[in-house]
Amino acid sequence: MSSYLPIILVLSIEKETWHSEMTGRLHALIRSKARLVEAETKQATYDALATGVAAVLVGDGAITKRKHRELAHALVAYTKDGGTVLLGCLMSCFSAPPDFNRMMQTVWSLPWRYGNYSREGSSLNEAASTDRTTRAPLRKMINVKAVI
Amino acid sequence: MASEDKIYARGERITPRTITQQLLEQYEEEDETGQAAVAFGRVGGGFLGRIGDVNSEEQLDLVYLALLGLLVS
Repeated sequence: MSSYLPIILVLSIEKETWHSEMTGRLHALIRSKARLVEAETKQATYDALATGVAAVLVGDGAITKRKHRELAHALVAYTKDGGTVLLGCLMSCFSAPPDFNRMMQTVWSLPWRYGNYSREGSSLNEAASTDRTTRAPLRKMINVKAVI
Repeated sequence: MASEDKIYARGERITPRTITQQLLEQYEEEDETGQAAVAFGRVGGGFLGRIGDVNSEEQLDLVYLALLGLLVS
């Protein structure tokens, strides 16, 4: 049996001590499937990206700010080169809508914008373009409080 | 946002037929219901995803693993 574990890089550039209360369960779950490397500085992020990671989980809103624009561009380059970047955890709590929208437009060149903030039921898209979700045993319906 | 990039979309059931209908209705303005709590789309040779929840809810744990590529056998 192979001992290989993929590396998941978690970006926690604006980490506060209480964040682990919010992210601890998810980080433990990721550690059950992968080697989790947490970067709390730009340089640590660049170093990790240079060594090769299976995916990046952006855990807070730092990259939406102008002062971290260079870091956001590095993630775009990583993605275009075949990597996976997932914006999640505390990003929706700690990114200002104008900052998020500006980043999506000017850095990622995607029409994704900050939407409504509400708790609503959402259905799993059975026709999504990725088989990461269409082939996974995911709930058909979720009901979460989210920025959509 | 393109329909195929939505992973969990509110109040609408998306099927391959839905996408076909949207292509046929190409002159229609983007609908205001086109928002998604979870999205995942291609950027160059890789992927960008977004999970918009604000409470770190357990029901999304498997979605994180799936989008990070950790449920692929």
